[in-house]
Amino acid sequence: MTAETPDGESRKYTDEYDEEYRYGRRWQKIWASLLKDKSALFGVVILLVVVVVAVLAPVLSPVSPYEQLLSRNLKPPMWSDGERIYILGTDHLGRDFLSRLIYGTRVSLIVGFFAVFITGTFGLFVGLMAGYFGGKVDFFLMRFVDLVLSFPFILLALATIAIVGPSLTVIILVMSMRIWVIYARVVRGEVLTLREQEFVQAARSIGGSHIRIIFRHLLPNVLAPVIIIASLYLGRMIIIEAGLSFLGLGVPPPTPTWGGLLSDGKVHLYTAWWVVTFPGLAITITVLGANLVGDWLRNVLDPRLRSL
Amino acid sequence: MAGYVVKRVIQAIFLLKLVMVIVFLLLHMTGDPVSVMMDTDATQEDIDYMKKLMGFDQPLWVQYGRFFKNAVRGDFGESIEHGEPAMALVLERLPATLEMALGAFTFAVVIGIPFGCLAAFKEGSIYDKSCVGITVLIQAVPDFWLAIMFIMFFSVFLGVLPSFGRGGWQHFIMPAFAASSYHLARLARLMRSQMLEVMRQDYITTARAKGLNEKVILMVHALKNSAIPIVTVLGLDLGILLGGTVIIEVVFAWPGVGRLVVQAIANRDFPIVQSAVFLMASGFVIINLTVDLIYAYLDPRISYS
Amino acid sequence: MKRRWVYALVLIMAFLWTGSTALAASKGKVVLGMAGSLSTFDPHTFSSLPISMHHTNVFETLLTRKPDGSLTTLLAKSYKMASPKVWEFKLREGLKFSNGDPITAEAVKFSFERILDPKMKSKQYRYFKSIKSLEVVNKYTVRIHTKKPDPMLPPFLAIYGFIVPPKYYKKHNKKFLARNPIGSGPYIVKKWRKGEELIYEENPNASRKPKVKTAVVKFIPESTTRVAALISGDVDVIDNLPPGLSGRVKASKGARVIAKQSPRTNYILMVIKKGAPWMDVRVRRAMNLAIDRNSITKNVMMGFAKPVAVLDGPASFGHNPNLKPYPYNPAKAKKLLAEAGFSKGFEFDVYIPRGRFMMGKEALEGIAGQWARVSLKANVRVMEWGSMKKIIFSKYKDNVKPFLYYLARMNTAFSTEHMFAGAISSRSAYGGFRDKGIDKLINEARSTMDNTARDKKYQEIGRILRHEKVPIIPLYQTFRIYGVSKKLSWTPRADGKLIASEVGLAGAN
Repeated sequence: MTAETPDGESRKYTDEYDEEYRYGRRWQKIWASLLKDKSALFGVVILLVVVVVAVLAPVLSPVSPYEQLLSRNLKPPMWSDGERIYILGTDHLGRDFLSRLIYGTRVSLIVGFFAVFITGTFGLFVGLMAGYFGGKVDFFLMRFVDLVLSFPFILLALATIAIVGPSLTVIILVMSMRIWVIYARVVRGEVLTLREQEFVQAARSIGGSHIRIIFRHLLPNVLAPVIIIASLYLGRMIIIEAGLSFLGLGVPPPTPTWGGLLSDGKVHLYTAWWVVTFPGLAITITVLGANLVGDWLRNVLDPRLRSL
Repeated sequence: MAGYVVKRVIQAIFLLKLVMVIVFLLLHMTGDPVSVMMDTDATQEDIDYMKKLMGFDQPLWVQYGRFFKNAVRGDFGESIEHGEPAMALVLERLPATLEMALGAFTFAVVIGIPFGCLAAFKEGSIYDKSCVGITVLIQAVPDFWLAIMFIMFFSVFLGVLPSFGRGGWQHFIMPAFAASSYHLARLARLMRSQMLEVMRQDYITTARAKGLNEKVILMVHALKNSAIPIVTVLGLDLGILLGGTVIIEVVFAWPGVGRLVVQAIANRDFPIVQSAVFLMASGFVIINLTVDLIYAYLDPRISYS
Repeated sequence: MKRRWVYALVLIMAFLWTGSTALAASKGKVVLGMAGSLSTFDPHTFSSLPISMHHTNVFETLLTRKPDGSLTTLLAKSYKMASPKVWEFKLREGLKFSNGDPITAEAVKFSFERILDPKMKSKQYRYFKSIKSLEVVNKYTVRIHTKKPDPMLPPFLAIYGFIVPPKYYKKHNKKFLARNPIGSGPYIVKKWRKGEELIYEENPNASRKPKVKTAVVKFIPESTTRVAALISGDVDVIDNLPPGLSGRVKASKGARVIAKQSPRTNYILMVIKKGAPWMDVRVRRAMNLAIDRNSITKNVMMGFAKPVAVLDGPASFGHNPNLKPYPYNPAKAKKLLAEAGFSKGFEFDVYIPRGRFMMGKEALEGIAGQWARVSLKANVRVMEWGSMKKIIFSKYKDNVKPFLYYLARMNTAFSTEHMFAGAISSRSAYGGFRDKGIDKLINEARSTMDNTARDKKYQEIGRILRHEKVPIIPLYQTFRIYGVSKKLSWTPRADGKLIASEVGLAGAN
């Protein structure tokens, strides 16, 4: 998959135009389109609420998510022990489920955001290098990409987690192992087009250093696709975390994550509906929000990237 | 073109070899099959005795040399847990995996593409809106969750579909659909926006003005012009489906390669893992090459020098 | 417009309905949904609970266990210790393998020699490594000579050591034999698709008849799917039912829950070496007293487990009935910790393998919570089994920080000695305790040939471990939980095995 320009379109980039576009009209355009697009607005609101919940977790949760009392396990929502009401009931170890869900928001978002950040940065770097330097650098980096892609993901995840042992950091890295490839490919394609543009050629002919050209001229122009992919893959990351939890490879206990809550609750599916329904809903709503925002950003920033 | 293909094949062989070395090292670094298979009542002597019998006490490079020597001859060794040739065991499971992957892929194509096109033709209608809504929602649900819900609804509640296993077409519906859900939704959405984009292009408007039959325009021009991103996505999806339906296989007790490999990794049954990875990586290489060739067919401007 | 959609939906449903499968239990057939997978039908290469459960349908051993757990004869008519190093077995006469070959002393000799053959690389070797040679006395009498006196041999002869026809097993290669077994059990294998299904048919030459002519085993790894399959009638029996899902089976119209305490003991081991706070026996006792075992078995295990005092349950030989599980006494635990100089507690890692023991992770999380109340901070580390073993085997290395680890052992030999050898003896690869005095006692007991005296010795070791040495943290024995269709009649076995040939239809016998 080394098609240089996937849809054969060519775009004109100029320094002046870009500058103005980025800092002026572009933001206006984004803002205006957000107000017009109801579903995008909905997505933004969901994400904002989720982020606020994650940040304010210690304030919002009624008790510590780790405080357990086995004798009050699996109590239904609105159950009261005489002192206080457990709004979403308790889990299999008698921990307050609402608190676990709220703290789970935090961990799930950390997993999602960090995975996206790492994949984005690394993919961006590889894509820039491959696209800009071309030749041997490009060849080896792209074969590296092929290598990663030809590896069955689950196998890679199993083996890595087996070697290092599961932890939040390891889970994030494992999830990032494959996704960065997508950024790398898109960015590389963009850079290949940009490299031949006048303003890059000009910068080169006046003896601009590689670093300056890459960071001053290329980077700002490939940020849009990176942001789009990032927003589209934020939701996917949360889902992948849930899948890893299902296979028992998720963030280790007692740290709550939505995926972990869901797979822990799986065996109580029929007798304690709340331990599976609420984390399931949390995942679905958040991913929905992230996807809507991703769609909207793509439509505004770069409609050509719809195959992501 | 022929030269290009040869070059790619040589690269692919090199790639495969690298994959095999990495797998070998990954697995051997994380334990050996003897320790894994000895129950918790074994003494250290028991374990050492078995290790010696099976040759796992030798240095890693000797073991790799032995593995590699046999592998080039197509002999991936005998499975430690099954006591049968590993490659044959993987091949035995391959039809189930292919059935599921291709089935899910077909679902995605046969349902996703027409629904996406239809939504584009009727842009803004109720149909379009619900199509978009449903696909966005499907993409937001974890696949194992969808699978468990399917079983609860169709097998336990309605009692119309078998809850697990492989057999007739009834067994096939739920797993294939669950495996394809994400890809189906993505494809439908992609198809929709792609069609919308193409329909707004100048040449389509021109063609319409010239009075050509509208359907012909859409079928010929629009479809061909929107094909490249679609082919990219399809290639990626097929690769993912072939290598990664483990979760669905576990939930539906589907006897595919994924389950075999997960078990083999747990037991450090190296020969099975090696064989399966070899097959999966080869599959990827073939898909990759095919996609590139389709690109060249669809868009002659792409050159392979 | 809307109505059209409704029609379409009804039509699709009707279409699916006609295609839906018939209910499982029908005349002469029973369908089992089992969690564990089966890798081979060669009876002499591997050892695991799922393997022995299936092999028992097709092959027979010299001795066996009744459903209540007591040792009895099977292919052997009688057996005795001819001298301390010789066990003599008289076979039942006139029995045949499913291919018609007679079952003779020669077949017994061949079968054991096949296990002992280094070329077979058999995992069962370690159970029979005390065997020096086998001697055919006459057609139906065989003697097993051991290297040293081995009173432990009979319990293992009831689990492994399946007898096969020599001619057939000499003629075919290993690969063929892995799929095409010939034995003398109640069933023969009619069809087997790995990871999918296994079909047993009645063995016409067998001396014991199966309860039902045909048994179909479906391999279903996911527990929620097994339950769905049982409730929807796709299968008749399921094993490894998680406690949390038992409520749904109980509430169903067609199935019920059957549970029985199994000899599967769960315990936490400690790497007892320099630098570990638990080098001090008071700390070990405190860690035991800080655990509320009854609360764990009641709330996490939902009643499907029973606390144990040492390593074994009442069904085991050598079990000391006078020993009680450690009581829950956090105040005393705190006091003991303070005496040992740990009034502020300490922090440590506890490892547990992922998805291996019923509710193991949940129980350990619960235990960690209880420890936290006496200021012991336990970091629960859920590990992949293979990697965890690597950590366990490195436990005595100087650079490895002392840690704890949660394990469970299925003691199908019903022998306390077997548990001691695996967890207490310093020769064990999995234990974390080294005490020459205890090793000596275990060795003495193991070579005591008189059953009553041996039983006494094991009981005494149990007492020392429970009250003086406190080398481990014993927890509980878990139950094997099954979901069984009301159309079936079946008695659960004490050894926790679900053996297809023992599953019958209700009212049929």
